[in-house]
Amino acid sequence: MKSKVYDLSKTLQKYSDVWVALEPKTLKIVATGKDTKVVLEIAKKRKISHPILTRVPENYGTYIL
Amino acid sequence: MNFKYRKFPLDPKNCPNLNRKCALRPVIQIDFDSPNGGFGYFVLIDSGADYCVFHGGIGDRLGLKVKEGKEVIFYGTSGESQKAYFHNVTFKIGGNKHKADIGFSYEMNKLPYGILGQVGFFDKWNIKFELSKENIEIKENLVRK
Repeated sequence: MKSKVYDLSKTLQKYSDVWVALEPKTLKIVATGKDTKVVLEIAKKRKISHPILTRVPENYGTYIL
Repeated sequence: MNFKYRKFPLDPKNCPNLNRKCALRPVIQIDFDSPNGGFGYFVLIDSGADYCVFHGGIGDRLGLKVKEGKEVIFYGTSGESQKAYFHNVTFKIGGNKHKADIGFSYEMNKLPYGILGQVGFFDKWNIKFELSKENIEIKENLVRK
């Protein structure tokens, strides 16, 4: 299931230091929490099939890896 | 397969280009099947990384005993050592099944995505980055060993 939504700059900006689960087609946030277990459980309760997990770091900074 | 670059938040105060409000990155979605239902995960295609490394919490959700994997110390640009535990896992890239040795690390919470590096990704796929078109082309490497 490949998402066709590519701009996450506004969606993720409001969050910090959490895991989030995104609805796979719209990429709207359906769950947030401190770990992957919590966000997957919340997404499952909300009947979201195949959520996308990603982490929002404390600071969405500039990366040189 | 073609993937679009994705846009992520950026702190404009901590950026050399004053008017930039977001960062374009070669981040793609990969997909896992797991006993409790499948899920997607965002990964950065990083040609500078020797190996593929994902967050430890992802390994937990796959039902792996993460710390029982082969322990490897790795280094980022800060020079600080980090630990990863390697396991052979299967996931999908654009619907195509992919199997690779992946390091799982509990010490990468400052990073938003997993990393697809040379061994386990670039050795199996040919990648063409086209930032001007915001496109990443991924083709199977037919001459791989």
